[in-house]
Amino acid sequence: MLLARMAAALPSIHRSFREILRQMFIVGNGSLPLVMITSVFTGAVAAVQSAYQMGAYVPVNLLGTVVAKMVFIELGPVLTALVVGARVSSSIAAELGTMRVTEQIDALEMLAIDPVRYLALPRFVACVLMLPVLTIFADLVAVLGAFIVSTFTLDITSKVFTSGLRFLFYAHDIWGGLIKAAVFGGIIAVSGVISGFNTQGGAQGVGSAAMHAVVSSALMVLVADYLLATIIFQVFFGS
Amino acid sequence: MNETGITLSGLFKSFGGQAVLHGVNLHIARGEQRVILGKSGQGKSVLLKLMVGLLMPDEGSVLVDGQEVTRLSRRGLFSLRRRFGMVFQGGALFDSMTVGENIALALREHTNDSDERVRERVQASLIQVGLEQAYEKMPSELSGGMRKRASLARAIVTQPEYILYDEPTTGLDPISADAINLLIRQLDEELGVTSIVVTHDMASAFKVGRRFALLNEGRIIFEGSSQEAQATTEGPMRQFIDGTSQGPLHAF
Repeated sequence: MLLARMAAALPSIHRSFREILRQMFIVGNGSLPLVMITSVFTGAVAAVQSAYQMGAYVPVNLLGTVVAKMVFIELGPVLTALVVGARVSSSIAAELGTMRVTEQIDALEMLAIDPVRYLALPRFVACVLMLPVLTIFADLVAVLGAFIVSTFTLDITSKVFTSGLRFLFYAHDIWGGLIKAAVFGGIIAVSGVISGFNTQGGAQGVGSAAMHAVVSSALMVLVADYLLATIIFQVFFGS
Repeated sequence: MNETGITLSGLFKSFGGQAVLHGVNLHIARGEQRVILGKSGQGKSVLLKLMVGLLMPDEGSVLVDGQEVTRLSRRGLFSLRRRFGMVFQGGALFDSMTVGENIALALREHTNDSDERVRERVQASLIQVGLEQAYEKMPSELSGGMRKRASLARAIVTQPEYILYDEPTTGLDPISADAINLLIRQLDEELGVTSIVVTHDMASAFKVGRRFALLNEGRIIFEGSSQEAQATTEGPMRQFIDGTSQGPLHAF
């Protein structure tokens, strides 16, 4: 229902251009430090865990390969979506929920302005555009984290690690991850908007809406991750 | 049946199984200054929202100038609402915008006016409500009375045919409340709009209303002019005017 109304509002999206830019700044700039910190440790852990599991059975020059695949396909987009989702979906739900309980959404309706076009669509577009951008940063920082840990604590030379990164590298691994990130962005926005628009009561209702948005966004990201992995990496890019 | 104005027929509305309106019938003629009275929680605000399709009735009909509101599409509702202005109980100003931006929003969305023209129109509305210095202020910087006046400026900037006021004086000190009442009266005279005021403040009702309707337990139980209301010697209207807890209207 919400998606259909946003699709119907698409022809007038140019009227929300400034609001989309504002929301992109809020989603992107506000989330970047969080994404960087999460990613550097994600990459570091990926390197340590992979080295441990590979042990003596898998050549060490494949560590970069394994880490890159994990990060580009799965860890980068999913962890970014979970971290950004917690921050952004709760923020959207709280903002729109407060607008609902203080009758600001009714006031928009009374001004003959569609709240879906004015409030939901800019947030949706901003999340869909910014999640892939944040994921690119997350991928780069995670690989950097893995590189630092590998070279400083796992006795792997930088040359071995980087040659591992290039080995079996497929551009569609990155594209697949970014497509997933864009879908996750849509899920985050929709969770926040639905929870916000359906807020009832006062402060307690706004709190519940924010919590509901975070939980539903995280669950839907994980479910969508499985479905998208099947569609993208088995159907489209599968051998 | 009168085709112009607002006609509510057999309106029923419940929330979560709790009935709020049980068959409300009411006609508000064009150009009228109508006050809808009632205790808190009797569905007065619900009635206002039903008139403009912000809520839909479970049963019954809402006619605005002969147009059935319950059958309108979203586009039709937006078109209808452009003829209305509404002053919400808490003001409902958009707190991320300045007062000027709040008032300009509808003009920017629905007209091709230049920025300069929009600013002129916004400033004219602010002058009408006595808030000419508030253009750049944020809603959080305004007092309760100023917020209601800013909300009123937003409601009148598009020159609506109908203005709905939801508890315009609630929460205000007597001086600010009187200023709001005078402003409503003045705008009625200057703009010639149909105004519908929901309130439980009798001082305000007598200042702004020409005809009264008393809503109780989901039904209109009194309808008449302000003089007729004032002339009652007994019954619910008299009890409401006197503000006593003893009588046909139950306090709780």
